[in-house]
Amino acid sequence: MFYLRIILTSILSLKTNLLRSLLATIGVIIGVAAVVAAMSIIEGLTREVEKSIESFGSNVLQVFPGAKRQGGRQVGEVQTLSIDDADAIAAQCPAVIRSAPEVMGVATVKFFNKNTQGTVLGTMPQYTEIRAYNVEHGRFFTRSDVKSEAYVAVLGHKVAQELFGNGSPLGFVVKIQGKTFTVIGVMEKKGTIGFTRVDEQVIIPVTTAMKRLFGYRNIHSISAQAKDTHLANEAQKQISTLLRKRHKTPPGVDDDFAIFSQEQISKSFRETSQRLGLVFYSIAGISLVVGGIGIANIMLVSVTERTREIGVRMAVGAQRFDILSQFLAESSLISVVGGSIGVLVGVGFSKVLTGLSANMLKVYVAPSAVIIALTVAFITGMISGIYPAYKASRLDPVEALRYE
Amino acid sequence: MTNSQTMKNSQSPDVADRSAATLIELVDLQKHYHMGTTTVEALAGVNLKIHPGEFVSITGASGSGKSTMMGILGCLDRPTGGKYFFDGEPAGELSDRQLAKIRNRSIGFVFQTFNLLPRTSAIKNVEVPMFYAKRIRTRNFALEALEMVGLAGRAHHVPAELSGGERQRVAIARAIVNNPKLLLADEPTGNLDSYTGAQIMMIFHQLHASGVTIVLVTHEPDIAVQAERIVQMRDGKIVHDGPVDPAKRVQAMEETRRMAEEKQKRLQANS
Repeated sequence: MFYLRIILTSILSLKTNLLRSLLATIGVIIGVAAVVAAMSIIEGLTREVEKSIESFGSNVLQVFPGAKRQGGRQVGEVQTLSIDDADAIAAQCPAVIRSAPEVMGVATVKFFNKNTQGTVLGTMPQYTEIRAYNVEHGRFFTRSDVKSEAYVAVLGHKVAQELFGNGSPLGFVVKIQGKTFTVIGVMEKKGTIGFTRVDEQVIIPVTTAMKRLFGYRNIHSISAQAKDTHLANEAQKQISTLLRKRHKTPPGVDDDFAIFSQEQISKSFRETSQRLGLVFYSIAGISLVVGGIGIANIMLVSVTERTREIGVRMAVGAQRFDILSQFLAESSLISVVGGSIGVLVGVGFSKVLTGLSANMLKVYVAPSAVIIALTVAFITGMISGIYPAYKASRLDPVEALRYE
Repeated sequence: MTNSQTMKNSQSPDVADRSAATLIELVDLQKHYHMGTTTVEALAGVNLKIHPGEFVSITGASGSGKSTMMGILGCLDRPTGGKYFFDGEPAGELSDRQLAKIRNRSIGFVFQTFNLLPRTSAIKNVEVPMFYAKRIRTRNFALEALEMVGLAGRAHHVPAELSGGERQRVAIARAIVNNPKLLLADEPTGNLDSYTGAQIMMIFHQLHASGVTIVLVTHEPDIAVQAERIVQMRDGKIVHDGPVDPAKRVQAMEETRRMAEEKQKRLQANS
C-alpha cells in the first residue's frame, strides 16, 4: 500500500515535469526499440534460413570446388569438378545412392513476345530423385538426352505460368539465350530448395548447358544423396577420399573441393548469425546505455531542483529510505514506460520492415525478445536511478530546507 | 470557528494542561560548524527546559543561533556537544531513522517560506506527514485539519492559487495533522503583511489553547510578546529567559485580534 502510493507520487512528479520526463523516456524508447527490432530481424532471418536449410534434405550432400589456399589466404576458386567426378561418386562410394552434377547460369527465356529472366540449371535425370522434386506434366529428360546434348527443357512452375499462362507448354519451343529448346515437361510447384527458388528455374541436360549454352569446362557443384540420413557423415568421408584420389591431391595438401551437409550449413549459418547478432545487440545495448545515462542525468537535475522538496519531506517525517524509494520509483517508471513504448515501436518497425521487403524478410517478434528488452530497460532505470536517489536520500535536512 | 472565539480561549492560557514533565530539555548544548580553518560556535552551551503546553518565543538578531537551535529542537540536526532530551529521549544519540520518526509523529514544522510541495493540492500537502506515518484513509483527517485553519473550502487548490496567508494556513494544517507534541514555527509571519500575520497568530493562540506546545522563533517584538515566555539569544547563548509581562501580552493579543477581525471583514466585503 505504502509503496503503491510511492509510485503514485512518482507518477505525479513525473507528470509535473512532463517535457523533461518525456525527453528522458525517449532515450529508453530508442534503446528498447532497437533491441526489439534487432532481435526480431535476427530471429526472422534465422527462421527463414533454417527453413531453407531444412528443405535442402538431411541426407543430401553438396560438393563445391574448393578454394585454393596460399599461406592460409584464399586466392580464388579452383574449377576442378567434372561430370566424371559426379558419376564416380555414385559408382564408387558405397554410402552414396545417387549423385548429379549441376551447372547454373542466368538466361532470358523467350516464348514469342513473352520473356522472363530465369535460372538455367544443367543437371542429370537423377536430380529429381535426389531433391524429391518431380515433374507435374510431361516428362523429365533422360540419360540419352544428356548424351546427345539435346535441346530439351523442363520448366519450373512459375516460368511455365509466366510464359504460357494456364495453357500447356508441352511440345512448344522456347528460346534460351537465343537457342531453341523444346519444352518436354513442367515441374511441380515447390517454392525453394536450399536457397534456390526452383519454381523460377529452367532445367536442361548438363551437357547441353555446358557445351551449347554457356561454354563451361567444369561443373559448379555435385549433389549427392546418402543412402540414409545417418550415413551422411560416412558418405562425406567416402566422397572426400575418392575425390582426393581422382584429383591426385598429395597427402598434407588441402582438399580442392568442399563438401557441405545440411548439418554443416546449419552450423556455419548459426555461427554467422550469432556473430551478426552480437554486432546488432552491441549497437542496441549501447543505445540502451545512452538511454540510461539520459535517465541518470535527468534524475540528477531533478534531485538538485527538488532539494527543498526533499528537505520538506524529511522535515515532516520521510525516512531516508522513503526518499530513496521515491526517486528509484521515478527512474524505474521512466524506464518501464519508455520500455513499453519502445517495444511497441520496435514491433511496429519490424512489421514495416516486413512490409517493405514484400514479405521476403519475415521479421519474427519473439515474446522472449520483448521480455528481455523490458527487463533490461527496467534494470537500466534502476541502475541509472541509484546514484541520484542515493544522493537525494543523503541530503542534510537543514541544508536542504535552506536551499534556494 | 471564528476569530473571536479563538481569542476567548487564548485569553486564558492556564487552561492548558501543564504537567511537571519536561518536553524539551537542553543541557549545555553546543553546535560547532567548521568553515574552512575556523570553527563557528553557533550554540555555545545552552540550557533550556520547555514543559508541555507552553508557548515560548525565541528571539535574537540574525546570527544569534536561533535558527541553529530550531534545527536541533526539530530533530533535523544533531548537537556537537551537550545533551538534548526530547520527551525524555536523548535525541542527539538517536539514529536518522528514529529522528525521522520523531519529526513525523511528534513535531510539526511551520516555516517562514511555507515550504508546501508545489503543484500539489492543499489537501495532498496536508496528507504528506500521514503518508510517511504509513497511515491509510488520510483524506478525512486532512480535511479536518484544513477545517481547523479555515481552509476546507480550498482543499483542492494548488499553492500557486492560494494567497500567502492561505499557504501558511495549509502549512499549519500539515504541521498539526499527526497531532504533534511540539509545534515549531520559524518566523511564520515573516513573509506576510501584518494583517495576514495576525490571522496566523490567531491560529497559533487557538492551537495553544487546545494544549499544543508551541516554540516560535521570531525577531519581531510584537509577535514575541504574544507568547507566555521569551527566550532571548545572542552569540549562541541565552541572554534572557523569562515570562512575558501579562499586561503587555494581553495588549499585543488584543491588537492582533483587532487586526485579524479587520482582515476578515475586508475579505467578506470583497467576496
